[in-house]
Amino acid sequence: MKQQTVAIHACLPDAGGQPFAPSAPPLEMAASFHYRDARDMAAVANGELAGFVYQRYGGPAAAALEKQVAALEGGGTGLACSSGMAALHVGLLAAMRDRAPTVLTANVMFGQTYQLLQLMEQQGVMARFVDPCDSEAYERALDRDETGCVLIETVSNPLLRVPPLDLICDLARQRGVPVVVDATFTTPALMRPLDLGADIVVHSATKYMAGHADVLGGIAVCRDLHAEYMRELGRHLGPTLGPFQCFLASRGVRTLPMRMQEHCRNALHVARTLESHRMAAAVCYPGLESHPDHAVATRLFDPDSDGIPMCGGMVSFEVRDAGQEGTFRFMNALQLVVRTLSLGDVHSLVSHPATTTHRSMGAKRRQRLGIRDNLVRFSVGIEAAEDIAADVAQALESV
Amino acid sequence: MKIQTSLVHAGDRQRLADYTPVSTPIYASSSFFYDTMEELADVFADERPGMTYARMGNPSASALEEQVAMLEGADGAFATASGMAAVHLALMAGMLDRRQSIVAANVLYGGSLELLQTVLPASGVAVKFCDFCDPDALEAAVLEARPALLITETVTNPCLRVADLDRISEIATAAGALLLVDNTFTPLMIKPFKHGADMVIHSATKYLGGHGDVLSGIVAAPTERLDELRHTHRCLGGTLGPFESFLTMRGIKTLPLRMRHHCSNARRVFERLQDHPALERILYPGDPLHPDSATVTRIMPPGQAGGAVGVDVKGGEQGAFAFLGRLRLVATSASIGDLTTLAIHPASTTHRMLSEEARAGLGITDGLVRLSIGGEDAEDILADLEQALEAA
Repeated sequence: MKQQTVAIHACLPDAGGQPFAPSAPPLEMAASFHYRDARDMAAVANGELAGFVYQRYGGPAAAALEKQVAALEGGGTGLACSSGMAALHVGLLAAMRDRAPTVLTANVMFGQTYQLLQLMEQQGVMARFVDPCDSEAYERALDRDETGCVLIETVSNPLLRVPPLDLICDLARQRGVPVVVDATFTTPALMRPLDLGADIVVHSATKYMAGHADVLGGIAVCRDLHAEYMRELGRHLGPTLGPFQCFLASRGVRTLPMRMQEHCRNALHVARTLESHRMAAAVCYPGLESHPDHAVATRLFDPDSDGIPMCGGMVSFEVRDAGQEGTFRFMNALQLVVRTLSLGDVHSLVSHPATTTHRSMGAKRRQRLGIRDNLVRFSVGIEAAEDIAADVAQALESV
Repeated sequence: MKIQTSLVHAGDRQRLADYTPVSTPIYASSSFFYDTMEELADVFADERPGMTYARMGNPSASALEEQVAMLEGADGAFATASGMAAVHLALMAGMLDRRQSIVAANVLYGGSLELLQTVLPASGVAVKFCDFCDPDALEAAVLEARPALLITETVTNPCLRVADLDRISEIATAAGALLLVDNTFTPLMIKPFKHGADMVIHSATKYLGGHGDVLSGIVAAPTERLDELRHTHRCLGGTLGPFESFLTMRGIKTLPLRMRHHCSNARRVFERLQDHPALERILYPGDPLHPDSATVTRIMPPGQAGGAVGVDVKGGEQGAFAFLGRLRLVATSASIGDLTTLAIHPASTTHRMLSEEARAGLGITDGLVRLSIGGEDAEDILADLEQALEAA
């Protein structure tokens, strides 16, 4: 079955012996479930009988979302979480269970992920950093030190590099090292990391998955090996996603494939517009031939219905010869495009990594990684492409 | 502008006019918009207050946090996705840049016990358990473990022992350790900060939310703890959603009324069932013969001893299950603090992860049923409990 069909159907409940079934996943508010027979409750609590006991252990709305996303990821077990960060934390802990407390990861990534790794350092977790696009660097690092797990973003945040996930998964797999993939930027509409050999996929469902800027949520999906412990961690740490958020995320996922196709097409259009504009520099979009990882993106990402590889909805660029002030002038002049954080929403939005998501890493580290003060991260929405491009062009004129 | 564009934007991001909604709106927004980038950057740099991204804070959650800070007499609070997320947050924040060592009460809610016994030790945290009702044992444990923090519940789950918070906080302070108090069983009745607590935790799923329709948690703390809590909360991302924030806040508005009913109903149940022939024993902190009776008298309001009652049914597990099976009004459920009276068998559910020996040592017998007395009329609750016991 195609992703678009899976997305639409996989969250729907079975009729369960009834002559009818609801047309949308259930929104059950119950914090706990009452049992007529205490023995049944004990059996469910012991995992001997399927059912729900208490919402932190799982509920119908979460189960529908988990089933839907797991189906899109090509199978496995899902865990809905209260945020993408919570899903990532659970994923990392599950991957490192009974292994060395070391994470091999990219030297440029989402700022909060870097802070989480620093927080985990308090419990003795060591993070080591390599160039995300250099598979040989991964190989050297894997051979040099004992590695608890590898953590990769499918597209790096905010510089939009595309690591050769297939090669890195092979290297890790040959050495028995689990791979945790943050696939927030790509979603299963573009690629399915589990099929490439990854062990745990995590998403900030706040972004493309839910897609409408109205949900904070996360989800982790893994194969059998990690499933039991991952769900156990969900119960113990308690970052449960509430039923409303599950319902909204699930509702969003139903249009994920069609939205992603539009995001990707619009992003390519915006990237090309920017490339030909004198005020834009360093335009970065994996779908452009000028992008250093264009070949990797073409290899890894699924094509759209016209056969063009879907390279995501994120574009980054620099406002030519501008500092923070000139960059803010451009951003402030945008009429249609929203100035905010987040990404993956139906509306186009811009953010400024140096003062927001990547602020805490400090100027020096930003400079070294190429996150300059005139860098703009653009999440291209699903509006008409020419309207987005027109707004960007008029705002660039006002710099 | 194309219709495809207009439909994404029309109606959104309108400024509120000069009216204010009487109850806090459900802000189902993952991020927030500013007129200029300078304003957004200033909020990020903590140079002006504001909202940026829902994991960093959401107005619906902030309103709840303010309400609970008021309830507990704290300077601030952080709403979490569940009570366990609150326990986890408080523990992690309390250990930030300190020794990764905890001394915990040996009887706690099963979920807290599992977190402390399995996940945290696997992450290199040293956890030592001891009986917090034995000050000498606690002093010795603290001396040996030199913990960053101590964690206890005001009323232990499910055995309903009552911690002498003043004594425990003296021991914590002398050792330079923080005291985390889970006040889930006794909101309003016990104000842990008055007894030396450094952070107060709630599973707001229970009495605070109170209606069995929301999973949520909260950590309340004084000013000096807020930065480390905020930083840790943002990293761990155990954020409470806006719908849940709204429902929890809505529940807390009737908390004083509900707690009065829970407490007086529980007392009625204790008084009526204390000598019931079908029971081995009854656990209730308001029992004058309760081992912690002196502490109860000192730290709980007169006449109130919480809404939980433990009944140890004769006949062990079989007796308990038969009793539960005969209940009609009272529901068998894993929660507490609901308007509905709830019953659970801890040995086979919440505390099943403990060995039989460990359970026996703590007094979690096979016949023990934990009752969370609801807000129904006391006579109706008693009629159901009595008919289920009579048949035993």
